[in-house]
Amino acid sequence: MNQSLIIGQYVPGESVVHKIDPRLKLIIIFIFVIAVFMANNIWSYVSLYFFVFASVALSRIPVAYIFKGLKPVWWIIIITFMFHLFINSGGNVIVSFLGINVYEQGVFQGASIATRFFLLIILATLLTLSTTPIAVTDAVEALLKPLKKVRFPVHEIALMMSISLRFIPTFMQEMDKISKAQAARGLDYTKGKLKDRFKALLPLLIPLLISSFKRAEDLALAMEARGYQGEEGRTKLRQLSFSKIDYIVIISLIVFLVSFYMIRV
Amino acid sequence: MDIIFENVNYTYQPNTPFSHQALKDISLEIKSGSFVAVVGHTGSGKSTLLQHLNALLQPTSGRLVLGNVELPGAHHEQIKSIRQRVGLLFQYPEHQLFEETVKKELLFGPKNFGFDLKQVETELNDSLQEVGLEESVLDRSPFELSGGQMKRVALASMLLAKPQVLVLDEPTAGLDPLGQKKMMQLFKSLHENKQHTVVLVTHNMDDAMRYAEKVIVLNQGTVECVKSPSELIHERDRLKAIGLDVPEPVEFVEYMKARLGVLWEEEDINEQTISRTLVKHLKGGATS
Repeated sequence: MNQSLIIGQYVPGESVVHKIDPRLKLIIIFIFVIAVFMANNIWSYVSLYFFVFASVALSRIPVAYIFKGLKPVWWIIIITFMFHLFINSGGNVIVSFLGINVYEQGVFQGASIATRFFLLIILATLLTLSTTPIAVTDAVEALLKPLKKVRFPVHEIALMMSISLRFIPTFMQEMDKISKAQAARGLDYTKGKLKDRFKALLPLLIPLLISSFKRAEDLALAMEARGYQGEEGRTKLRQLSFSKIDYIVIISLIVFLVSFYMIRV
Repeated sequence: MDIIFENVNYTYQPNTPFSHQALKDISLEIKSGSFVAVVGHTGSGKSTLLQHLNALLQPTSGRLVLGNVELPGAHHEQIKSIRQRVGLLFQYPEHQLFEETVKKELLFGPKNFGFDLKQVETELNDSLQEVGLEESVLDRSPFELSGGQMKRVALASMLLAKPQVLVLDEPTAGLDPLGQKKMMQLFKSLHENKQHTVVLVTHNMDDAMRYAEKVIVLNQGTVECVKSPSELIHERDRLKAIGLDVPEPVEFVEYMKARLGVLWEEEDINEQTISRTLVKHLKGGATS
């Protein structure tokens, strides 16, 4: 299993962050996305960092664990940074290196884009680490409810989402088993030419595809056998409701946003 | 080849909140040419142990010797040679079948291990016969086969890679009773006639007792005991305590003692001793 990929893996806990209503969490992320793109000076970025790491600290999930999960993303962050560093030309030249000039603007632009990436990914990771997939889809369904007026299939979309989220770990386990079964038969997809490596993926993908079709069929049958017929007349086992924590979070969020707005130029 | 575990520990996902130690200080030896069974409750570390035998997992700490290869620290080629010499049959054949025809499926392992495919093709029919399949399946798609047939195809494809050690994970699961018996007989004959080392991972105590020379009992990642079947029948309470089935003959003897008032004086528990005691009892002798 790819153990460095942790997005989508729920870490059970009892922290404040775990207890926030999932709807509120989604709204916070939405607002944060906007805020990240509105930041325009160093202090506004610092306050965003503060916001993110305060949330991480409150969640009591080890920072090292979250960082480990960023491994696949580091490269994207670094490459974007480099890209801006060398392409952007504005302000004074800071260093000249092999005939390439690095400008003030480039550094600032690069750093701010990388920061945006970094913070968004950490917050999104934190959301999935502290919220069960079911809670996320419940929240999505609740937040999209107004769209039902225009005949948008909210329930169905939410159901599809929860089913696909539900099966990610299952497929990862399955992939692990399949790749072990094939490795035991001498399959080697870590060595050789690129073409051979692609070819070596077939023995992994075909069993995985076949088993996912089978699972889908089983699931559909099981749902039908239990009389599933869409949203009509369904009640929810978990009713989402705001608690004291949520109101405190909302107040702190407003305080943060106001101060953030004042910090930026 | 001998297999030696020396203080082997294995931890899944170390340094994460999900960190879980599956093997704790395992030390044991599986002699070349022996037939051992590994039994244990769900979560006892059976499948982790079995994946070590094939170098699919490597000890987090401790030492594992597989013939002339030592883990951790073996290089790529050595690991590949281990995978050829140790054949691993997984519980679900669906996880490995992917080719268009059974024939290609059978040749997949030997091809990966660099065998001469012309030579292997001449052996196909024999190996099909060995596992109890008909030649006509060769041109069929493996996905059209029944579960039992898939299992046999997986087994044949493993045997074609000429392993010295057979590691079998619940090989009889999903087979009908007759098929189960046939498959176990096949392993027995491979063991007896070709001197294969057989490691049978199962929770079917009856199979373990009937076929294995030694039974390794795992409990929560540690070796609870290593006993021969004739010793293990006296460990009824211990087996029950760690959630294992007690072999049926043993249960039957317990039943005779407790409910029928039979006096049990035999060392071994098998068909002969049971029938002998029952006869004695009915004649009025062996009553406690």
